Amino acid sequence: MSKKISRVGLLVILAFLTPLIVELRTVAGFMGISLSPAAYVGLAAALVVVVLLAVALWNLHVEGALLNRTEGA
Amino acid sequence: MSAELEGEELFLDRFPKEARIVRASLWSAFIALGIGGLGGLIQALHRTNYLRFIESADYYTVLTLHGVLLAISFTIFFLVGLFTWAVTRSLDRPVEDIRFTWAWYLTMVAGTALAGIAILGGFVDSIPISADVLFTFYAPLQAHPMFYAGLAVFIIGTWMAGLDWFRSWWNWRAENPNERIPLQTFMVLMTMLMWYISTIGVAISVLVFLLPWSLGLIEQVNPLLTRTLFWYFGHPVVYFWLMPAYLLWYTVMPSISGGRLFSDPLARVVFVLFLLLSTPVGIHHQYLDPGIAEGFKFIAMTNTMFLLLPSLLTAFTVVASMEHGARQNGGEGYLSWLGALPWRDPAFTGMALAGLMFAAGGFSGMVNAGMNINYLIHNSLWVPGHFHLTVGTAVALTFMAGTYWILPQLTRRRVYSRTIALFQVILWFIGMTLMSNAMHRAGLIGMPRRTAEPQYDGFAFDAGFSTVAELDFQIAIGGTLLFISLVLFLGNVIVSLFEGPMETSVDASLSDPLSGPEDSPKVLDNLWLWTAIAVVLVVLAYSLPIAAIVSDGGLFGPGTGTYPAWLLGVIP
Repeated sequence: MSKKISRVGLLVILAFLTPLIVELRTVAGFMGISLSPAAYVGLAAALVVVVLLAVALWNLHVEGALLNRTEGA
Repeated sequence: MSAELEGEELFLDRFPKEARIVRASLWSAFIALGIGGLGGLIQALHRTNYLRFIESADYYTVLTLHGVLLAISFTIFFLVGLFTWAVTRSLDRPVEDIRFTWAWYLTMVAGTALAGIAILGGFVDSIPISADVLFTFYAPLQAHPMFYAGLAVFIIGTWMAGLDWFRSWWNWRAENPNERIPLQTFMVLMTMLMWYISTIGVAISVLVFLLPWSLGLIEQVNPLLTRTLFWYFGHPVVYFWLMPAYLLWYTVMPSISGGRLFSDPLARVVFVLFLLLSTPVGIHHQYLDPGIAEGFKFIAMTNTMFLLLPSLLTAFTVVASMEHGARQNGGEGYLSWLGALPWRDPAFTGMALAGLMFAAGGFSGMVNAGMNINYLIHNSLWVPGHFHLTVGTAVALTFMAGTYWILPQLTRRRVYSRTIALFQVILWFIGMTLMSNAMHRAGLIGMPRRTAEPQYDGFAFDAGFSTVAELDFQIAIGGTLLFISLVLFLGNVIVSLFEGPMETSVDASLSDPLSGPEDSPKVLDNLWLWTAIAVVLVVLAYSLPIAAIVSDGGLFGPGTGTYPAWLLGVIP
């Protein structure tokens, strides 16, 4: 039932998040939101955690739906 | 495609002589990559003032070495290796004459050596040889004749390589008169037709103007004419780098995704469009050149925007093929199928990340291509930021990822560490994200490119929401990560050669497309037709601008006769 995110998965997620995080600062800057580098790193770390949680919850949701479908059949 | 190379037989076993030339080409590419990459690290650290162990005057020698070795030698040596593999395997026949094949390879090596020696001479003051003319090498910068001779010899080598592949196809066609051109061979032939058309410009520029000027045979040249002839070649060369990456994305990536190419006809249409549209666009590099009328620039801009079409078709086809593979692997849902892709495979992950970066490079390329917004970023650090996404990642990362896939087929050696390989491609992606983002942002605030000293006394760039120091830090970190990634790549490949031969076979087969060549109109294979249309488009785009440039500035520059200077000593 439980589905873990592998180390490879983490690495790939990190790769995909890097441009989003880097560009987040660019976009925020153009919108007049100025963050210190430390605050920016904190925000980026929080974003990574949120994405990982979202992936984990989504997996639970998908597996739950599959389980229901199997039991229904 | 799979019918062309059935079973588990390695390319090395089936075509040992051809495998040798492919390996030699790839190694030449990797040597250029190593030296050129080191040049990149030196520049990144010097420009940002983090580490300076060369004189700023030598920065331009390093810059030329970096540009020529990476943009010309690395890319094109990899291309000739990959194309030799592709033509041989897709036609399932050896090259016609292996001596001729080695002849073009050695010609290219000789050209690279001549140009490389001329560039490296710039580091030694006591040697009267230098070529600090950057990758673009047009007037008024002048190099030693050896540099131009080397370039000419190198390009002749590529022409010979193309002839070699055409000979294979001609002989195959004589034996298979009713067969469609196999997709990989079709891609190679279309790319080479584009190359023949586009290198006419640089050949004229080098042989008629720059080399005689460098030798002192003519007094001067028309700088705008040499710039225009360079960019006539300088934009299609971008597609010459990209087409091998496209070949891997279209024909290899679907198979390693576990699926099949979505559409063979669409792939053929894309390559036809690149043949037609790659060349009549070069003037978009010259929006700020005062000697070219705005109307001609507008035509170049329009043609350039049409080039988005094959790029978008490629994005659709490649992603659709990946999705098909993911669904074969059990992937479901609108986006969940992404998780079913083989992310553990460095070949796949590298190519997928390279494709993603290419999309970003396409967006910044649209800014470059727009006549009005180009003025904002012209000659700024934005431009290197852009092409490090395209050639520096879409092409280079695809080539590195492709190497992990093709190396076992050429050497019977497994890649030493797939974990290091996976880490390497991801590190490249992260390093380039950091460096390219900072370059783009620095360009937006007007920071110039092609200079060792971007900061001027008494002037400070307004970096907006961050600081120039932060941008410099990002560039230095990104450049360092890229170099570490490069070292990991080269180390992994070199160590692989010392591994024992594989005992088990590797799956080298490529899957058949979902929609095969039988679904595409036969006219797509009419090479004469597409070549003729491409030539007409080039004539329409370039005849009037070049006539105007020669009329206004003279064939050999203003105020001079149209005869070689040495004739003055001969004619009384």
